[in-house]
Amino acid sequence: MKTNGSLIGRLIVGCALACSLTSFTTQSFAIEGMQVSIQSSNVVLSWPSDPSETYVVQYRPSLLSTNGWQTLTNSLAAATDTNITYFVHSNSVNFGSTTGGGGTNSGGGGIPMPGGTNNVNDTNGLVMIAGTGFYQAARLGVHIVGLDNFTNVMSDIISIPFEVANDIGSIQDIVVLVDGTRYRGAAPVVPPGINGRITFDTSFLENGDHTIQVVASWLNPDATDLNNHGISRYSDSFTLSVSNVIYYPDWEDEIGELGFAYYAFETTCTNSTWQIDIYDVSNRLAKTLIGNTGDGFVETNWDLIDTNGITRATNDADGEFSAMITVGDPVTKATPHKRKPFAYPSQGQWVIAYQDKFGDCAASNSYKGAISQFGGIAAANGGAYTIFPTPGHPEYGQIYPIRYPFSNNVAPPTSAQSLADENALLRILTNNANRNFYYNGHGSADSIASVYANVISDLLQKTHYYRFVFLDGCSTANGSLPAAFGINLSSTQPLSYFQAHGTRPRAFVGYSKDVIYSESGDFIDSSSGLHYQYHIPDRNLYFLTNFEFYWYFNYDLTTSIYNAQNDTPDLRYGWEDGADLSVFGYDALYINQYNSQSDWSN
Amino acid sequence: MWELVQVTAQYSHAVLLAILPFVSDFSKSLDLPFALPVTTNQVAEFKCDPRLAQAGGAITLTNGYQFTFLDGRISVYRSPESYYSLQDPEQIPHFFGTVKLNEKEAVKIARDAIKKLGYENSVFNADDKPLITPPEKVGANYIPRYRIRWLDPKWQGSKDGSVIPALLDIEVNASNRKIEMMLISSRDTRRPSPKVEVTPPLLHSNTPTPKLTGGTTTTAVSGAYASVFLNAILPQASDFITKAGLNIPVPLSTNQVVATNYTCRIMDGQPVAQFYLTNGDRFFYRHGYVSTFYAHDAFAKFPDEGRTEDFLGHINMTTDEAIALCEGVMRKLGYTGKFTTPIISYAPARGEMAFKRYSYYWRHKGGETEFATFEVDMETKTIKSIYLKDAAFEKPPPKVDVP
Repeated sequence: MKTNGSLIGRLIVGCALACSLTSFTTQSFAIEGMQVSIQSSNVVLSWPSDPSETYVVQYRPSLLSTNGWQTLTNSLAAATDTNITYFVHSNSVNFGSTTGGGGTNSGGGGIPMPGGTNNVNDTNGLVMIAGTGFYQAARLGVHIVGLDNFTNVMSDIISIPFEVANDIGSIQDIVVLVDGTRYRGAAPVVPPGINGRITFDTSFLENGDHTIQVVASWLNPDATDLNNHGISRYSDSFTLSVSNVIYYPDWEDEIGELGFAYYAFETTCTNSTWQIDIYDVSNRLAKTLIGNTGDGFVETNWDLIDTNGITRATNDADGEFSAMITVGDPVTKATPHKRKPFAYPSQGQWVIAYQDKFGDCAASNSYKGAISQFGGIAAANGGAYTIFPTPGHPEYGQIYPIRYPFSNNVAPPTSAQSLADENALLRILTNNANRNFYYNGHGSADSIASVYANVISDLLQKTHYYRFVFLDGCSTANGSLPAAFGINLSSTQPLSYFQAHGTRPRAFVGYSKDVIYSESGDFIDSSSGLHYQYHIPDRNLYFLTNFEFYWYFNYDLTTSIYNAQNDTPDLRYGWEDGADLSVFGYDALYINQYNSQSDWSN
Repeated sequence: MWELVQVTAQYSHAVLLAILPFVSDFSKSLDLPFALPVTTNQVAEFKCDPRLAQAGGAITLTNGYQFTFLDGRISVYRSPESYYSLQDPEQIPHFFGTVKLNEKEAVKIARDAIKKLGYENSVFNADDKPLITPPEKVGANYIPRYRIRWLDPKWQGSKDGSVIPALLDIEVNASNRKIEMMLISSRDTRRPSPKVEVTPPLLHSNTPTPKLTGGTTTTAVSGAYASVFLNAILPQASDFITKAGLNIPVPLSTNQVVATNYTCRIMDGQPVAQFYLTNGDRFFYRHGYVSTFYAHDAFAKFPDEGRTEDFLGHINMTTDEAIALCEGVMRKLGYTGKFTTPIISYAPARGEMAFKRYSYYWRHKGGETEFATFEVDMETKTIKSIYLKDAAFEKPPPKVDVP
């Protein structure tokens, strides 16, 4: 296995600081070179370092949930003249307080333990209360810990430890990229501090070598910081070699509406029998599928009729099934669960939202008009819904527009208003009738506005999928947003893919890179005395309007994008004018196709 | 931008009557199996094109055939037997059949259809090899349909292959040799719109709307203050010109400034100034530094932009060289922070000619807006515009002891 970049040690330490002047206990978690010492009343941390690094150091007085990590420094530069960096937490050693009378702290009691008091009875019968403390430090950025542990060929589920730190913001999401695209088999545990683990199921990968990279995102709590809204950092990539006897790169999570559950897996056991035992939520065997494979590829369907001849998955309480695959000698493997989604509404509706990111742009009304027009064509194809501001109630949530914290010409929303808007968006997205979504505003690989993909995913729970999602913002195609909306694909697929899987055709459109939406500059209109600093070029609204037009007039999705770009004068790469859009899923979708329940049912 | 009309019933009907002959001609060319000419009695639904002077729209016939007429020609055709237009998966078994054509035969049928419709292969790049989707297999059955797409060779859009730039997209029935779907996107097929006798009202009034909306209020200063302020900032502007390597004689004097186009105001409690040189170059001064410069021949002169076709030429420097040029200027002007990788913007080439003006946008890490923008002429290796907004450039403005 090859690793990129250097690993200089995981700098996580937890240390309990005792009240004793002469003795203390350190409890450390996977410390690599971290040293902790007490000098006078100071705690001194030191660790091997690289001069190019910058560190975050955090402290908490106990491990109680009420005591979160406090950042002592978020920008500690590594020592430049030596390979050891020191951090001094001044006057932080609590030598204990006495109860029951006066006296000196000279008793020879036991070693205090973290998280509790250390009752030391001295000769005068006084009780000493111990102080405790925990420290952790990490390099700024995203780092995989212990890369050498991944040099062997890996199978099944592995755990990948990592550390993440940024000088500002709170961690919001962590995404694992495999071979450059978001990986469905990775479930990172977002840490409260700066370290965590990724539960990584290798079974969704083809056997062989893959490039792994971890991306972390932070939200800047400082709404006045114009230049830092969301921050993403990438780890160095490394190569992971994978080999599984049974694996399923084409796994389908959903029990499709066509009335069958699709099972597909591959095995290194060629010319072999195979068996799939399917279990319901009560772990009762529902069905056994059996067959033979010559080339190791298995693709089969369960018609949802169980061994007793009863049709299953007819209600939400019976909507989830696990399975055990057996091949060869035998080798067995438990599969991920399959879920039956909520019933598609008789007619899929549309949610239209935009973030007020351009209210201070000169001539922004035309662009607002293009967004509004999207609502118009949506209204004609299933119904468009949004949440407008409520006059006199700025405390109510709204999504048309979602208030923008970085506004230059109106007061930025309070955090309560931003939260209200976020909740309003989530509320309307979770309405089962809504199956199409157009959003225009700031985005990243795993967020739109300040709403993160993992939050959307948790709420939709893989049971409420979207037929069409167009997230018209930066880098929205690069992370976990498509999967959050139930469009768990990272490439285009033909209709036959959805027929084979039994799932309704669906498509995601988003930008594959950061794009510019407004030109910055300075101009004073001498006649009015008004100063203008931002401006949306016409090509942005031309593209959007053209796309709406062609899609409305029966072109399919991908051809509409092509035509819209073709008809956009002065198209420029790098802008939000369609040139860097990506489409995942059914690219031949047209505007109201498969948008009613009867269009895709058994 | 299109001007839109109000689609009245009268106008919609007139447009429908105007385009039905085109539907009939198209149907006759492809030998479609229904009575011709097509009349309004055969129309189940019509969606009218709302663009001014563009008679068009989408027609669905009672027999399920669909036609879209845009820009003077039938641009979309879908038959009820189109697999790629299928709406009901229960109908999939209905599509099962025998594949009686090989790829070569299917392509020939597609090219024959082009000819029957009166087009040359060249407008679709159809003499080249097409992108072919062979008949899909569903279980043990085949859907006998070839999807044949001729792609736009000039396409420079998404690189991940998810957007297919098809000039022509044809579905050929491999059982009976029929054309089941056509999506025509080539701009070379566009024709003048047919005339319609009904004049629809405009959707919006024809009153010109102000070009600029929004804006931040500034307050006036006295003429004396403005004059003194200009004299005070011209040395800074000269220094800016020198450090940026602009081809403007320095030191600047008031003789080079167009007096009638000089603006000095107070914004956010600070004096700001905008002045034009006699050669048309524009400068803006705020927070004690020259924040923007637009050469008279810049492509983007905020808030206006030129036309890409007026800026074609040759590329004589790399983007790395241009970035180094711009970053060097920023360093000279006082920027001490780290440089992130800039976003690079340019327009597609036109034939053999490249769009020679590249724009470079620097954002702070995770930033939403730019702190620096440069337009570079990649042919002459010169800077055509500069926009700077960062505290590193700011200085106290000169004191003006005039009310």
